[in-house]
Amino acid sequence: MTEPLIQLKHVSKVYGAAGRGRGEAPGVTALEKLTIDFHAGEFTAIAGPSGSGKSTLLNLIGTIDAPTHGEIRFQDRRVSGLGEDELADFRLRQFGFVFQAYNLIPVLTAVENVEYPLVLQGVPRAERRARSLEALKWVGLEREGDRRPDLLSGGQQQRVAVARAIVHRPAVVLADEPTANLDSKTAAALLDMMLDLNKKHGITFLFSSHDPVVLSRARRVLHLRDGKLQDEAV
Amino acid sequence: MIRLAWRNLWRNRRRSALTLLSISCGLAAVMLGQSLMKTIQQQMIEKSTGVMLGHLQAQAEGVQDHKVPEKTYPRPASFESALRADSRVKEVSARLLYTGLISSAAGSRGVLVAGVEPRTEAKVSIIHTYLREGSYFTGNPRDVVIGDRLASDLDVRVGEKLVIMAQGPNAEMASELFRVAGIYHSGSESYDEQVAYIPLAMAQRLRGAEGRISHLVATLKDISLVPQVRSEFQLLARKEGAELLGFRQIGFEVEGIIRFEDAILVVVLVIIFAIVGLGVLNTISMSMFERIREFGVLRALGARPALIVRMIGTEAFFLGAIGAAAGIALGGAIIAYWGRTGLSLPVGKALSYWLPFETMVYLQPQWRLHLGSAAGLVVVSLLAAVGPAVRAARIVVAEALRSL
Ligand SMILES: Nc1ncnc2c1ncn2[C@@H]1O[C@H](COP(=O)(O)OP(=O)(O)OP(=O)(O)O)[C@@H](O)[C@H]1O
Ligand SMILES: [Mg+2]
Repeated sequence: MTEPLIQLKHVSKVYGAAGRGRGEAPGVTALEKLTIDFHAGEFTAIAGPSGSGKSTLLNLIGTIDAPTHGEIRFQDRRVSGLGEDELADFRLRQFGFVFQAYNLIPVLTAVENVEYPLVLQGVPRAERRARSLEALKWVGLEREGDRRPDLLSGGQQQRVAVARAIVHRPAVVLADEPTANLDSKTAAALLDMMLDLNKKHGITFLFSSHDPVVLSRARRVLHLRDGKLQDEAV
Repeated sequence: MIRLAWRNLWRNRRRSALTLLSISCGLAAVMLGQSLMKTIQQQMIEKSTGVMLGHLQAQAEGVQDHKVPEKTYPRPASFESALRADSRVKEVSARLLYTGLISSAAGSRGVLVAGVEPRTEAKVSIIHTYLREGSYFTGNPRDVVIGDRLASDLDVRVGEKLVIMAQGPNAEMASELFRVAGIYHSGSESYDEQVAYIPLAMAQRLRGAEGRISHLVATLKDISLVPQVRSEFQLLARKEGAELLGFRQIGFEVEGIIRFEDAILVVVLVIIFAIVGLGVLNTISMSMFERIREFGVLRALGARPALIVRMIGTEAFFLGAIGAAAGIALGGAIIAYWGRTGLSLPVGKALSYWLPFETMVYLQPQWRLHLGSAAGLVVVSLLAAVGPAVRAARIVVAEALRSL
């Protein structure tokens, strides 16, 4: 096997334990000593009941939150310990994000939303537009580019979010319950589309869900319970 | 980024519109205040210098009461001709002022006797422009020109006789006969009731002060040159026992009023800036509170904290700049309107006791001050955004994403 893309080593996350003052607030242990490897090209689901730590895990991987203990390595480089600006630049290059809902900036049109990471990267206008339209095409929304998010259905909004997450060719797309606000048919369609992108373009997806229909599409499923990894189903 | 900030501004149209309204009305109010005060101040300076002060006066050294010098001194001939020869000087005239008693068959009044040189006086003073009847001196040495109130107090008309009595150098009383040459109405009670203008030579004779004057008064072609001319000629004046004073030193009440008005303007400016600043702060804070999740999304996508600060700063700048532009338009329009039709103000009445003053004030824009205030408002808007912007930039991304 090749070298892992992302490695978690004994990673724990305790919320509300920042009580460095006197006394001891116990805090909520959301993740407990997780050690996992992820490889490029994976299409992996993180499963588990509500409160099991799925969001926390994805946030830590995506560097939008920091672990309390343990170490996260990306392409064998430590990411914990980087400054806010470095982390932002790192995310801009390596990650795409899809959240459960309200992903899109309401004042920007679909194509402008998709463009945003390229704007941050300083890609010239014409190239930016072309790449964004292509990404919209990949998610089947080439005709909806000029619409504002509030004129799109929930499923369409999530597709735009996926387009935005892949437009800058990140190493990994992190999707936290991308289908939670969708009906099961739309959810299945979104997942099929993601799987298609994974197969055709080799884009790595890590997503969380507790929906069996969604989980059935995954090629690797990690089960979380109370912040701990259960048996891994492949 | 600019496009994003621009569109964010119009997300909550009502709130943004209200903030813009408060900025523009605040600025318009400030502009109106500035224009009004400055226009009144200009008129005050014009009238006070026109009616008595002139631009510069050379008085005897050591005079206590600069408005009506209690000391006289010999007319400083070489200083006077040097001053007159200067290209910046419009006219120079001499005056002798003292108190006296003026009487007709109907009664007597205490007055300020002003001995003037009619030909040059007409160029340093505006009193002749208020003439209602008769003429501003006929060349007769026994001419007297008085105000209409005094004329009616004494029940005299043009051509009728008056006697002026004054104290000579050795406390003896002297009197001379005069004939009313002209009657003026300036609108100022003190000038219309309490001053009698007579030719300088006659005034000197009555007072027993031949060759002596209270002051030389000069007007310049440009009033702003007063300090410069004053400092250049001061030495020459001193050589002949005189002290050269600018109108601001003589008419210190006018100067005091101007200072007071300026101070009020500053206070009003600060209050309005504070109100506008709080309005912008409120708008920005509210819109930020609603958008925490959005900032979380932007930060997750890779926006650096500084970019968030710049975005909010740009929004505040737009808010301030649009509000300021609207305020300039609004204020400018109101000032232009009142500049044409004039504004009827009771200020005229209040001041008219000691100065002739038009009750109609024609506002003039003071663009340097207005643009300064507008720029100030833009800066205030930006400052109001600093706190919220820094707070928005410091969010923990994962937590911001949890909020809805
Ligand atoms: N910011 C926080 N502060 C305190 N506790 C938190 C915070 N975020 C999560 N938790 C707690 O950590 C645990 C794991 O939460 P997490 O959101 O990762 O679970 P999840 O599997 O994503 O749940 P869900 O399916 O409801 O989204 C929960 O007990 C939750 O209450
Ligand atoms: Mg979750």
